[in-house]
Amino acid sequence: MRITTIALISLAVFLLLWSFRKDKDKTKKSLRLSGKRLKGIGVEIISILALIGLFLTLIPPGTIRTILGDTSVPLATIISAAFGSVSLIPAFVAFPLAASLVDQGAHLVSMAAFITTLTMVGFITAPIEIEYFGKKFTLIRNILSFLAAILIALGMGVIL
Amino acid sequence: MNIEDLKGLVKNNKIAAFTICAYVAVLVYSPTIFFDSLKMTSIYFREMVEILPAVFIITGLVEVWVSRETIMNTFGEDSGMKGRLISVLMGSFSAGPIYAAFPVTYTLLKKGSSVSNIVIILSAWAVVKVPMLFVEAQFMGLPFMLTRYVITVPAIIGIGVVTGKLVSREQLIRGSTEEDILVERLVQVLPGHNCGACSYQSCHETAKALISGIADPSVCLPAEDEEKEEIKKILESHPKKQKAK
Repeated sequence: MRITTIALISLAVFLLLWSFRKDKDKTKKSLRLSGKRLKGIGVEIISILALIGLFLTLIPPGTIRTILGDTSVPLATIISAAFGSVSLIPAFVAFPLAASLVDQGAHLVSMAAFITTLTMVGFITAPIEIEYFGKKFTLIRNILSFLAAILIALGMGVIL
Repeated sequence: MNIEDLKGLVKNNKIAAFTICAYVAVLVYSPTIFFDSLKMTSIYFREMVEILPAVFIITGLVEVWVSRETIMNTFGEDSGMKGRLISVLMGSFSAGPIYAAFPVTYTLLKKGSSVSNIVIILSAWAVVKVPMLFVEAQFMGLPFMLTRYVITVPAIIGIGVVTGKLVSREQLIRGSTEEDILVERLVQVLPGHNCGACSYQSCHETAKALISGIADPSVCLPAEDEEKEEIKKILESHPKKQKAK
């Protein structure tokens, strides 16, 4: 378990104990609320995680490596951004992958686009986002984030 | 289970149904890919089990304890640049993938945060998390990490401000009209199984029917007496709506 996860769980336990000491009923109410929410969205999240698992098995990172290996920087940037948009990879997998891509000749600009869209744009998690914030918000946020990712990548190309 | 029940179940769990179909198709096509996918999924699943319960406990507590005023002052429309920076910081010191951020930010939004600050928290949560920056510096080098950070933070704020202009709070919150608030309160009390025993598709629909007076709290089979009492109390506190029907 990573340190942030431990910190998060400790925080939850600490707050819960504090709340329980202050007001039992309020705490129970809040827990019931949490439980219902979790149950409401749980099936959806598990389904989407299973889809991501399937997606990454069908298109393993190695394939991406070969595709990106022999394309020009602008095209590679767009492909990276697009691949980053559809998938969701934890940072501790994404960065080693990006680093190995750079070793094999991928440009830093493409990698910046890849990392940004990977984490910020999520087509695969869009159903969860829609559940909370609706279609309009989800669409606008993801499109803007995608454009920003390209801009960030271009900015990095200028500076680095 | 008859066909109608199955239809309802699929309708309420479209993504789950799609995923199951995809997996069955893959199993027929290639069992190896099927089991590899399951193995891959289990890694993500573990992360979810570690993080989500804590996230939901914290959001529940925030909902019960933190006042609307506090949230509004910190993240509201008038919180200005300070609110934006606090949003970036909050996203930076978070744990878990972006889907864990949705329930947190939704709670903040309901309590009075502005749309732009919600987007800033979501984006910062995704791309400039502090633990992530360490991994990034390790693999991509410090200059890469710092440059990306310096460019990304203003970009995030920009995305937030633009989204805030394009989408209004009222459009986002299901509880924007008085009736919606009532529906939301009832949904929180209802068991949330979406079982359909009351003849309505979901607890949300049931709540609407309760408010318009078409349905009586007794239609909900899984609700305990205590919950039915609470539903009655909520309905009685809004007598106007009941008389309307």
